[in-house]
Amino acid sequence: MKMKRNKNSGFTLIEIIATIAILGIIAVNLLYSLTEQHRGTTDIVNKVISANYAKDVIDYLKAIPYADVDSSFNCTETGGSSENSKFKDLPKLVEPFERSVEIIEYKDTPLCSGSLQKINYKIIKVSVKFDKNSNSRLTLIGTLMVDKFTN
Amino acid sequence: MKTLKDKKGITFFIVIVLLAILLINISSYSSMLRSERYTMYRIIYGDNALIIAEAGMDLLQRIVENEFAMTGYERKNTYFNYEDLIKPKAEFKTVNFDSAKLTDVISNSEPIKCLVEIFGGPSITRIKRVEAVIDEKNVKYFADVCGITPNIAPNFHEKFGIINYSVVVEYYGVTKSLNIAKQIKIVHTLPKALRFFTLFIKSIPKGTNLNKILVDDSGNPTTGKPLVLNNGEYNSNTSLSPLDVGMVFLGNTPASEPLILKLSHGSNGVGELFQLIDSFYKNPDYEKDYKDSKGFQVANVQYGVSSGMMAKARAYGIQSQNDLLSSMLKLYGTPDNPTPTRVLGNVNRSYLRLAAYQNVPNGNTDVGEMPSIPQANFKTAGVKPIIEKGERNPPEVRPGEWIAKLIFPEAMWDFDDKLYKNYALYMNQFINYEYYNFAFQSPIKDKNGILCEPNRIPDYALKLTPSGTNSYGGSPAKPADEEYTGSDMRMFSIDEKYALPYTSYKYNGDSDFAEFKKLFMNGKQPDSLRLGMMVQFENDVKLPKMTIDKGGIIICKKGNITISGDIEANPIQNQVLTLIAMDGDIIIEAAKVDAILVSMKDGQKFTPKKTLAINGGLATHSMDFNQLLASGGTINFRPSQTNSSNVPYFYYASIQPDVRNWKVIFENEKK
Repeated sequence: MKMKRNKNSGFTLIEIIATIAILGIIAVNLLYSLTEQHRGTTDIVNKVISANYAKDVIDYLKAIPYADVDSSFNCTETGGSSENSKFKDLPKLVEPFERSVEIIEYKDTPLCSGSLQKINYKIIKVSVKFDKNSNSRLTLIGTLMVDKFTN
Repeated sequence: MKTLKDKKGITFFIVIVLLAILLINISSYSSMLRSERYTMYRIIYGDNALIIAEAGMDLLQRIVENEFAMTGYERKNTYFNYEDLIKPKAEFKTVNFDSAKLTDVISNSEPIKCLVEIFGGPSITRIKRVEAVIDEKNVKYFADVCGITPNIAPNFHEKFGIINYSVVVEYYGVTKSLNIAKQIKIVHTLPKALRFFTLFIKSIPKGTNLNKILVDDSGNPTTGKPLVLNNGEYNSNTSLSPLDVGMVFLGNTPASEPLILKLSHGSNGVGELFQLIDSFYKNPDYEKDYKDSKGFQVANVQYGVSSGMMAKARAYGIQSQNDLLSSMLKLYGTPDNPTPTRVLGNVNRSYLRLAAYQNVPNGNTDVGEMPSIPQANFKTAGVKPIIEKGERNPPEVRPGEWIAKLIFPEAMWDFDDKLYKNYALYMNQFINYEYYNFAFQSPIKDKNGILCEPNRIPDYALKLTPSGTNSYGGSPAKPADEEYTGSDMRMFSIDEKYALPYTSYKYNGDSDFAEFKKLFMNGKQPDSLRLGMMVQFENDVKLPKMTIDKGGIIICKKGNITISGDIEANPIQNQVLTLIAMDGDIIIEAAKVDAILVSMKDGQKFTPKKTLAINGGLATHSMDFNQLLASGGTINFRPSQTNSSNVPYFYYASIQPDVRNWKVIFENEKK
């Protein structure tokens, strides 16, 4: 009987508390790590979606004749609510994405600094946000439409 | 007891193992997520790099296309050696465009810099390398492909092939390469310079009885019939830049008698009158320096300007700021006879921007062209700039008032004087418009350094006005040829080296043109010409009446070209026909000719039989002036000569349309 109730056969309260504490610390760290990883993954997924939303516009505009691409395409669209009729053929924006399009035209601009050649071109700048409160949640891309040289 | 103690140890061990497994799993899961994120980032970076590469590719193609557009006989290409491009079959090798230069120009171009900023700046992304190559393996020759056809001369200069473009972009360490292949054609052409000629007379033989036409104060001829040159619509949106319209070259032989040319501007009748007169310098200094001078001068008189200013405008060529003239006289002498021309009055002194013919270092001679250089970026082709050496460096810009003071008496040096003020404004207009013309920005001297001072010229007004009752003219400007000392800018020739190798069809000719008509005038309309290539006649050719539906070049190797019937361009097609007599005269019996006429060999001449009406241009070695005096006529510059729609007939190389103009259709989204 003496052998059955050995004092050392179980864990003391201190041991259990210490174990739980250690496990807790580990669990908290693991959970934090997992949460961060999840957030990062969500971000990148959103970035991919944003990039696709931006590229939709760029592909669409680049298929339009140079002369027809102008500032009338400039707009800001919010997923799930406002929509620009000019982009109605594009995949619809969903919440919480917000897309801004800006077209800047340059005329008779020297090709390079001090260049003899002059050129007309348009820069299409598209930014897509998926967190309105954070500029870090922004995808900004652009492209170039080149007209003929004017020299 | 030992066993129980061990149980506690085992439990602890198991907990540790479980924790380790848990940690390993979570770590590997975390690592996997990180790895996936990394992969996704690389995809995004790669996509972004591709977007930049596409922009770079667009720009690259524009640059190369522009380079080809500037090719022709100019041979001043920046990114490739033109001679490599036109080598015949046996000699043609792979043409590598200058990758370093292309990379530099594209990387540093404003559009790309702007784009790079959008993507985060040059520390994040850059264009690493740009290449353009025409591989000899990808080139075929028209002669091989088409086979040998009777009368069709196999032309192994003409070829087509593939030009490969490549743009490599780095974005956050991710490198993407975009490669595009496009078809290229290298075909025959004439010197681009011909597109701009309105009238080019290489030589006026000694003893020629030149135009004795005199004009009244209104600029109307009182004797003889003038040759009117029409340089395109005046002040019209559709007209070309003044720098691109025709020019006049009046030979290098001294004129003994006045020759009058009127340059007008379309239907408005506004224009300039140029009169060649004898040497007028009679003062001892000039006689000393120009003892054997055979030069003639060109005086310019405005006519047909708006009513209010008519009288004074005729006198001083005053135009409002809104009425920029669209014509110009471009005169230049020769080294052997260095000062044949002197420009007086308000002549727009835009000299030929590039040699029509220039010596190259290896001793070969190349027919050049005039590139389309914006006024603001004017540069001569290795020719000394128009500037007074040692006087001012950099040259001081002189206002129009300064020039006006050279012309008007001191009593008029006041802005209250309308004539003085308007003249000053008018000259300012030139300065603003042609500020590369340093002649207006520095003291105006002649080639011997003598200041051109109108008051030093005896009977100045008399010499400039046949009636002697008017006071035309302005300040003598610097002799044109002095500006081009040391460079032969005047010669122009079409020789066999350049013209004949590009002939696609050879024809001996026959009385009724049966063979020619069968091939090139076989449309529903019997007189419709559909050429589209260069056709070579061996001997005399007499061209019948025809309508040009498809332009091209007819070249006569030996003998004369006689134009017996009217040659008219179809106004819808608006094509250009060029007629070249390599070793004979051009004789016009017809009343109307829509063509560029070229007869440039020594002794060749252009002989109009009737009143001239040429829509195109005329470049001839000499002209039958007696005949011209009797007939008079008009030469109209056709803006369509420089239109890109005529590219196949003028450019050596053309790049086919961009096949990447795809359209993105989101079919799935619509469903």
